[in-house]
Amino acid sequence: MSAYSSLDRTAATLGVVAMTGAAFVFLRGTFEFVQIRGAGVAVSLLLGALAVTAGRLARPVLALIAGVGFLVAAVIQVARWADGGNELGGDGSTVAWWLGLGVGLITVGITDRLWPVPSARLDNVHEEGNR
Amino acid sequence: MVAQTVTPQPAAPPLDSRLNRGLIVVIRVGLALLWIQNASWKTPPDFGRGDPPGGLFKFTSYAVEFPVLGPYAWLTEHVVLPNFSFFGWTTLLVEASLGAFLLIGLATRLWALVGIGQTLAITLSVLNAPHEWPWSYLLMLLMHAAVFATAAGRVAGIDGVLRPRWRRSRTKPARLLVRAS
Repeated sequence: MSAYSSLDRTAATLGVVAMTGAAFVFLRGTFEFVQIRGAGVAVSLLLGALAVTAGRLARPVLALIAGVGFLVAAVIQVARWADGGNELGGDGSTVAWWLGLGVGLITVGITDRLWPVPSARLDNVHEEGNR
Repeated sequence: MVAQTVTPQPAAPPLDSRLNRGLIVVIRVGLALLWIQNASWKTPPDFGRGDPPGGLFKFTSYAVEFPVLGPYAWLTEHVVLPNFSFFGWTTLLVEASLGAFLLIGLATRLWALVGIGQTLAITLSVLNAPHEWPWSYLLMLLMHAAVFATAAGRVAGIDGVLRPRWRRSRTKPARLLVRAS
């Protein structure tokens, strides 16, 4: 298993988490851990699908775009929530959720540029790293 | 009779079991969801300041009304409450970030420490307020300690994926991330 493929898998996983999180639209009360409603459902599904595509096609730049999208959505959410507008239909929990997905996807998207792995070491480095 | 020397076998690391790894993930993500859900009621821009007070402002003012630690009550009364917009935004930012980073398992040990700090601040605000259950806050502290001790982001978290690269890198951010993960 190469470290690069684990990055792709991470991007796809974050995309699946984002899309699955859209199901919070059906929950109310104690177990509505994240408020995903209205336009927030579309944001989660579209950017989540983009992240899954990034992982499946091994295109980190798509993960980066999806991550920036989630961060922009989080900033809009908190700004409009404070204004009383709230077009995205969320609250602070939505901000935290999208912040996590955004930071995660951006990290995945820029890792190869920041910390490239020499191809000859790809197979070893994954095993060594967590010691 | 021949004395036999029994060499004790080294215990298997606790995270070698798939069940244990799964439980570590559940604890980390559960803790993330705790912070995420509780970011929902830190509502800007007034954060509950008003007549009557509510939300974050009301709970913060409990530190003065039902003091737990004298110096903390003084600090809340003379520094925090008069500048509540700043502290409200700071609280929202810190708690949303706690949820975000614990959710994805990035710099997890650092954020576990931040979580311990934030839990202590909450504890010193509301521990003596009516209808509080002190074990809630002790459990929060212990959960964060468990996440720190097990380096929980290395299991199904971004720390686990990227730590090998950070360890090989000579850059300062990478070395900091190795320590934070």
